[in-house]
Amino acid sequence: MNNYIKSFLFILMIFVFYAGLTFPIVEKPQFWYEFPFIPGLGELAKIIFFHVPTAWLASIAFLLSMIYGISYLRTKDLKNDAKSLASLEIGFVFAILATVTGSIWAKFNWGSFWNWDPRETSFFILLLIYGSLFALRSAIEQEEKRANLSAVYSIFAFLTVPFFTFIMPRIMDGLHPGSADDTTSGPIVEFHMNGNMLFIFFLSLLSFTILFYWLWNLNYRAIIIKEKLKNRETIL
Amino acid sequence: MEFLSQNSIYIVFIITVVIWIGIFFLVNNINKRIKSVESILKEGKNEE
Repeated sequence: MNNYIKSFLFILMIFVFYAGLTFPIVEKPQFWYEFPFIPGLGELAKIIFFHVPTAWLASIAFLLSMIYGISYLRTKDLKNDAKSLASLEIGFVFAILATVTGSIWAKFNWGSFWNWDPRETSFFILLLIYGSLFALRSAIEQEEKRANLSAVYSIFAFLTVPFFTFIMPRIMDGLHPGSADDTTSGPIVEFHMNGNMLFIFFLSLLSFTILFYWLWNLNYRAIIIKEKLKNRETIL
Repeated sequence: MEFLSQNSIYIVFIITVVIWIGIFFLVNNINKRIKSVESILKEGKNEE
């Protein structure tokens, strides 16, 4: 990633923090920097700028992991396996961040850190599914076999992501905004955010996506270096 | 100071920015180190 993009990311992220944290939420926004009041959420709606991008990037990372898994199965190139693993590792970190930020938010909105709400439960199951993939990888010594199994597992694991992230929490009754019985906040992005709030939200998604790409690229290169050094040791 | 005591969200903002600056420079530093290891490995390969 070149220095211009890094500088852009640095400034963009500071702006997102500034706007996301300090722009006021009012009943009837009149200025460009005012966000609308969302029933049932109030000031706590500001988490949307930080929590949603982490959950979104976890899904994107798991998708990338599946895509490079398929690429590996087609080409048998271990670089694709490294890309899949790099994406998986960063995605898992973002999934944990989404869980932790959501849990802290839940304490202040719902009264306790963990409520076994359908959204929390489904994300917890996703963490278990992808955590098992790490266990699977660490249990296999042979590179090709590990890459093959990991690729197949990442394909089947991703098939559950749309169901657990987008479908199950929306068709079941729960506490999370957007659940089937939610009559106050509802699907926030579609109905309650005004243009300015949506703009900051998409800037937030953009900045977190650039950060994800940077981390993924670094992680991939680190995995390749590790493999090269391991091969060298074997030869020596 | 009076402004900050009345608008405590700006303290949160300042702390967040300090954390972000730390993360940014840490990741940038790792980037540089990885680049230097890559170039060392490349030189080693050329010498072989």
